[in-house]
Amino acid sequence: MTGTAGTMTGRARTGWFVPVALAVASVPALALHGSYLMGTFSTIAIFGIALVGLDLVMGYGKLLSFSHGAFLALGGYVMAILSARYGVPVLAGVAAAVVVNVLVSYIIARATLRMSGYYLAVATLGFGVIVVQLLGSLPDYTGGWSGLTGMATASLFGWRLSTDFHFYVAGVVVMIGCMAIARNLMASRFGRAVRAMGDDELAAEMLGIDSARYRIQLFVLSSVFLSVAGSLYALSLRVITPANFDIVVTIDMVLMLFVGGKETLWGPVLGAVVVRLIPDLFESLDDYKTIMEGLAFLAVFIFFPRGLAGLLERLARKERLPPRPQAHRSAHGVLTQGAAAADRTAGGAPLIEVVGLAKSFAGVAAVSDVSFALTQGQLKAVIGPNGAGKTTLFNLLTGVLRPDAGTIRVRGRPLPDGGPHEVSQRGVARTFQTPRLFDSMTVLENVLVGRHGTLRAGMANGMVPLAGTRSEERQAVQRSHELLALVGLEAVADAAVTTLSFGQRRLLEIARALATQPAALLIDEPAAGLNESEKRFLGDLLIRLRDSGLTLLLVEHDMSLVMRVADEVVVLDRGKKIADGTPAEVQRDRTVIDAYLGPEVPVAAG
Amino acid sequence: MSGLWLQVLFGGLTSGSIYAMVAIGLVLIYRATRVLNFAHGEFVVLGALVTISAARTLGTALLPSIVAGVGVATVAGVLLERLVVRPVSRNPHFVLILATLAASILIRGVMMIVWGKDTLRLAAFSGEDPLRIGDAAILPQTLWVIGSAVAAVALLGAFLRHTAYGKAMRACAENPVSASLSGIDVRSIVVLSYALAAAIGGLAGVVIAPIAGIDFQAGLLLTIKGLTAAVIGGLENLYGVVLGGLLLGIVEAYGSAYISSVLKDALAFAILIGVLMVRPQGLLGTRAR
Repeated sequence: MTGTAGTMTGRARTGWFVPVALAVASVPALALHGSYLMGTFSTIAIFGIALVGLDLVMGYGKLLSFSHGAFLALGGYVMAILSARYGVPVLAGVAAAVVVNVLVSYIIARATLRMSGYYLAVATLGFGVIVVQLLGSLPDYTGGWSGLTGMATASLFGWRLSTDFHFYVAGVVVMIGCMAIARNLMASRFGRAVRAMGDDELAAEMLGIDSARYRIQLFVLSSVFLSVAGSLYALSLRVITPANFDIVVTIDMVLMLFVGGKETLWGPVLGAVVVRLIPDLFESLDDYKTIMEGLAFLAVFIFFPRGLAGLLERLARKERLPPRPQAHRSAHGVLTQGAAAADRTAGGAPLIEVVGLAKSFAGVAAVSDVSFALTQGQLKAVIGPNGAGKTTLFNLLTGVLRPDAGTIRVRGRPLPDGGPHEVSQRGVARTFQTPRLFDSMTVLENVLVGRHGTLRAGMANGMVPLAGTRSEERQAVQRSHELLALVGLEAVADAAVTTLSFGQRRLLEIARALATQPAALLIDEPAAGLNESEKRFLGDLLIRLRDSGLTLLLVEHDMSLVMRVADEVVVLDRGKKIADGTPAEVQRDRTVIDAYLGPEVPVAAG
Repeated sequence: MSGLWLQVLFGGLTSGSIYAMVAIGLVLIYRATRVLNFAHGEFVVLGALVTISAARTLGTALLPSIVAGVGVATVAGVLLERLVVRPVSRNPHFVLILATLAASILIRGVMMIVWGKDTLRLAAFSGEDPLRIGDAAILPQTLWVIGSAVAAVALLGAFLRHTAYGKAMRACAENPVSASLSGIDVRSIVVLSYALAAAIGGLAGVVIAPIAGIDFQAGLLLTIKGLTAAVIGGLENLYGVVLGGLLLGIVEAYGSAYISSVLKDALAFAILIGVLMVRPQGLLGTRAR
């Protein structure tokens, strides 16, 4: 085993990340001590903290949310009001700010959860405006538009935060801590789930990831970073007004994140440095600041969408081509420890039982009155002409669509109705007609996402992985390597999935589905787009999977493959089942020949 | 009492008309390219500022100045499509709309250099003497605003329904691939959509400029209000967003007259969030799945 390569390197690097970051951060501290730029640098550090939080939601989570200015404001104001009006110690105020932001962000996340893309963007933009206006129009508490003064000077363990230098030191320490935590988290089970959702939400759901839950957790976590940043910001400003947290600030932060490079370790800080420092260095250019910002922002989108950090990374690392993969066929016992073999359905009852299933779209019946059963250890194929309802059937079986009528039972119990992730947790996995991989990840990470449901580590374990989490992770990595070996992709485990050939993408998707330890695997047209030798390998793989005890349902057009591997065949035509039996029976069936196979079938050969 | 009620209604219809005109443009662009154009408010401001400058140089004749303002806004719309949206169009939509946000910052910066930071105003089209309707006093300019919005919606509706270009635009909105297969030049339809949207936005800026002073940074809030109206209306449906715009304007007007003028914007977004929680697809939108 090559062991802990790939995902684990991220964590290993964190070991020396902290000292390196501290060393880098000490340069401005030593060089600029006493200069007016120290204030700029303390603001940069504080925004660095906020941007790490923003990157979680907008970068990794790919959620277009504009509420971060509001959370920054709430964080700052809660701390400041408690300190200035009620004499609460600063640290307790920060804690209260975190609590308030957690509650508010939870409510906002719940409320906007059902909204997708643009609707979320506009709703959160609106929330940002509401918060700033409320802060401005409640002068009795917030000091109104003219601002809030009278915060106590913060002191940490007897060390008073009073100069720009102090705020720089405090900001940098917190920022580096946040960067390390975010880095750990994004390499963990939690982070993989979030990144997978960002790449392809349906595929992630199909691996048992409850995307709604993770979206809320991510949103709330990000608000915690923002409350800390907001509190520090308020302390360093000494007088805060709603304008400090205006929508323009919200947009500036998005600019910083993208200029610096989202989804990177250093990007948030780089962005804060560039966007904050350059205008301060050239004060005479003040009038042209907005134009320069706009140009920089546009240039980033058009020429280097991964930002400065992405650019530096590309310059620093020479692209290596992954070695060509070797398919190898000896992977006995890989599946025997899986649920496939462990699952013993009592008394030969069907694993999946479909009765009277129907679904229509705008009056057109895609599936009507379809019934069949899939017994344990069976490899069943569904065939039929294009538009026969095969993919609709798959979407019904995996909870992507809800049937208009009929029932689906898995191990005797009705299919859960909470969406694909619940179906996956019940032991049904699937692959898609066109492979839907997580393109921002490595081959190994894709399979690790498949292990999601078998791992336990939550958000906290991800931030600070203790021994238990690390050993769980090691086992998952090992198991994923075994699955990659099974499909012949072991040699490219650490390659980016975007470098894979089409055939390899298919095989990886199968390995990823197998990683969930399914009782049944639903495979949608696996042979499409494969060449002859790839098809042969695929056929062998399917037979091996079936022989190891896995139950398979296969939608396929390639008749020679179906006839070679299937135990039984269901034939659909225009949404209706027209035949169900062994390959030989189906081939002789008059209706099937008329509807689909045609008189001259490649039967004679077999 | 009833006079105030009526006066507030006209105030609401006026800002509602502006929101509706901004929102219509946003929807045209959204339907053509699936992009939420965060630079849309800049067209409104640009139209107003160019008209104000032109009116100062040209003197009495207002119409040529208006044509200049709307024309410059239209050109800006075409440039936005060609120079910003098209180069990044292969990226996820997420990146596209952030690119328009970047463009809005750039346009704002340019406008600040050209027109400075002061609030500018245009002379009212038909004088400042209020018209009396019952107990209410109404500025004639509000009728210009409402009239322009009605005309814009009516003309656009007729254009989309009865002309070949309009039908092609609807076809592209439904399904760009099959539109392209049936011989429609999707690219030029997209450009046309941006041009029309920016022209309507520019016109909105021109007619509101005598009532509300315009400065270089007024665009952002207009964009946000237009987006709110568009989303309330359901993003796809032209009449839905007109409804959304008017609803927003009227609620804001009564809210600030009878509740609190400071909380006017907050009220608008409270309505937005409320509508979206009940109907995530907007008032007249259809659920996409």
